[in-house]
Amino acid sequence: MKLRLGVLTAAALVVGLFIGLMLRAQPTAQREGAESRALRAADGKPNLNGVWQVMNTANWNIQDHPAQPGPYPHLLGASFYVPPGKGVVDGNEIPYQPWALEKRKENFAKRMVMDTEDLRVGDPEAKCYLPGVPRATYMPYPFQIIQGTSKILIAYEFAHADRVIHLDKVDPRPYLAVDSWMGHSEGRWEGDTLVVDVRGLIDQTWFDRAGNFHSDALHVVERYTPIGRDALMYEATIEDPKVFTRPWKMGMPVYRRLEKDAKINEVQCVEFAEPFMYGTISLPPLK
Amino acid sequence: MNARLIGSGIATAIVAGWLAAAGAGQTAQRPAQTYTQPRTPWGEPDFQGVWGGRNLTVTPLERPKEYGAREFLTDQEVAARQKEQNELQAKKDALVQKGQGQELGLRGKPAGKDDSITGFEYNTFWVDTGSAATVFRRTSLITGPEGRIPYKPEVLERIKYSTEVVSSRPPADFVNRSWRDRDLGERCMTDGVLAMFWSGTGPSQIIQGPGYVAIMGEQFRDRRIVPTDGRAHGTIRSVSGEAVGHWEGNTLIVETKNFSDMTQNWPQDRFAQEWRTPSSAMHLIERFTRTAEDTLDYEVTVTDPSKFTKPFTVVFPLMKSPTQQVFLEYACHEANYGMLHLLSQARNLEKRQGASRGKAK
Repeated sequence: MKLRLGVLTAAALVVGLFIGLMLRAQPTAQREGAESRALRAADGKPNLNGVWQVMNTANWNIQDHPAQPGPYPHLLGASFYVPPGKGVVDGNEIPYQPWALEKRKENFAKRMVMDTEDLRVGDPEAKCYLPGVPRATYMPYPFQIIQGTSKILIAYEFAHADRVIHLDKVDPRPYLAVDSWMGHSEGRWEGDTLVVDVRGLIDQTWFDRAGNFHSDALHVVERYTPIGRDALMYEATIEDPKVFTRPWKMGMPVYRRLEKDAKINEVQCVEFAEPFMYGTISLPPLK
Repeated sequence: MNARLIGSGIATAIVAGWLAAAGAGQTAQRPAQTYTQPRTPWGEPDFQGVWGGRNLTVTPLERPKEYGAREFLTDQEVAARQKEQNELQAKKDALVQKGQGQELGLRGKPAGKDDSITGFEYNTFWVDTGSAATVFRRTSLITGPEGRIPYKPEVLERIKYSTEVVSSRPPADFVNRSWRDRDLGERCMTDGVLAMFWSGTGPSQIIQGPGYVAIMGEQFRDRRIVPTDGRAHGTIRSVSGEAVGHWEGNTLIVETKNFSDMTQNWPQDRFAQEWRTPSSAMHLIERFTRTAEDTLDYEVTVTDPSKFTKPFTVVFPLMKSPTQQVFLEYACHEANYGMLHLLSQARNLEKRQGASRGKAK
């Protein structure tokens, strides 16, 4: 028994030493990688640093929807069908004003139309336009949060869109002068929730491929609440008195991408939109 | 290119007033040891803020021949040149006061006799700093006794043609067949990684998180997220390449490679149009060192064996705005009516002429 204990102790020592050596030999990257999943940032705020992505079908339709064929099944087969999914809208109802509901139906019917005389027709995603807020969050691509000290950057992979969330005072506020596709974002911490007030949004972005839309009166309040190391709850309150009869909400979990060296890649999707946008007014390339 | 015009106007407005506060560029010569580098809460050197770049100076990228191998101006030369710039700006400001500013901005300076365009330089409007441009001590931003881009001979041969094709006076048989005939900038993608600091008309912004430095340019929404967590380069190519960084003391060193076969670069110096020829062979080493509250010294060494006989190095300080906290969204592609009009005009011309010049080519 004594001998066995001795062997076990020796074995434990060897294993301990081995683990110790492994830890020492472990590159800084992996240690920092572990740190970046910490619950708290260095300043004690919740740590949102990382690459994130939703796992839902809201970009196809933010409301409940069945499986459907894609836009050109005769060309694309089953590869680009619409995956079915539960919506992300609270109560599944978007309180459109009557005219706006008609407009939404028209949007859907013309979602894949490219009109060289009117760039506002069709889903802006197909043209590689900036996706706007909140759509950028739930596109089926990752985004990265870089949590600076007075600014938080959210860098989206699609259309290399990004937003700077200002935790500090920005004066004058740019949105008083000019609307933009991604808006002007002011953030504050409410306990462990990052609350972001988004204004100055242009009227040309959509909520999804189903034609859900808004006007330039859109005001979005987002809430990012960590629910563990590797997930956060995202909520957005949508207010737009020109289009809706009352404010409404959407919400969904967002998950951390846990791959080693996770990153967002550079996507210049203009290149993929050009044949769609300019094909009818172009000649084929010279051989 | 309405959007580019608007974007530029905004950028110009934002840049206004920076230089006075930035100490007219002489900060570059300030001794580094008097400055204590601030750190982020997680312990890395803090470079965060909105920075102005190359667009704020009149120092040329390549050294004018008159200087020979001389790298630096004398104090007297710097003072005299800065006085010229200040006076030029005062003239512009006076015109703006009289309500003639818009005309001035849109017309720009008269084109030189060797320029490929006639009349007034459109690009002057783009690079208008809104306040007096800075004269650095250097005779050129490229360092070393040559002070010029070491083009391979065959590349120099190509430069003449590419200058003509992309300029406002293309060859007589040039037709805009498709979007592919325009460069990445005109297609609203990017003027290239180097343009972010070298020739971009807008400011840049740095935001840091633990293990990451995000470097963004206002123009084209250029964005480079540089990991400093010890990871190696991967194999995925892209237009702006893959940037991987590390800290050496207070200096951020960024190595960028994995450029794609679409990668173009566009410095404002008109003899450097060859940069628009795509090359995936480029390799960059950049060094960022903060030497004062308002100064981030920038150095980049460019290697591209497809174009240059040897590597060369460019240096200049990025200067921080004391008040500017934001830059505005550059939504270029979203309103690129220029491309629509260019192509539809070409097709309409063909219809009118009854035969396609493109097919005849």
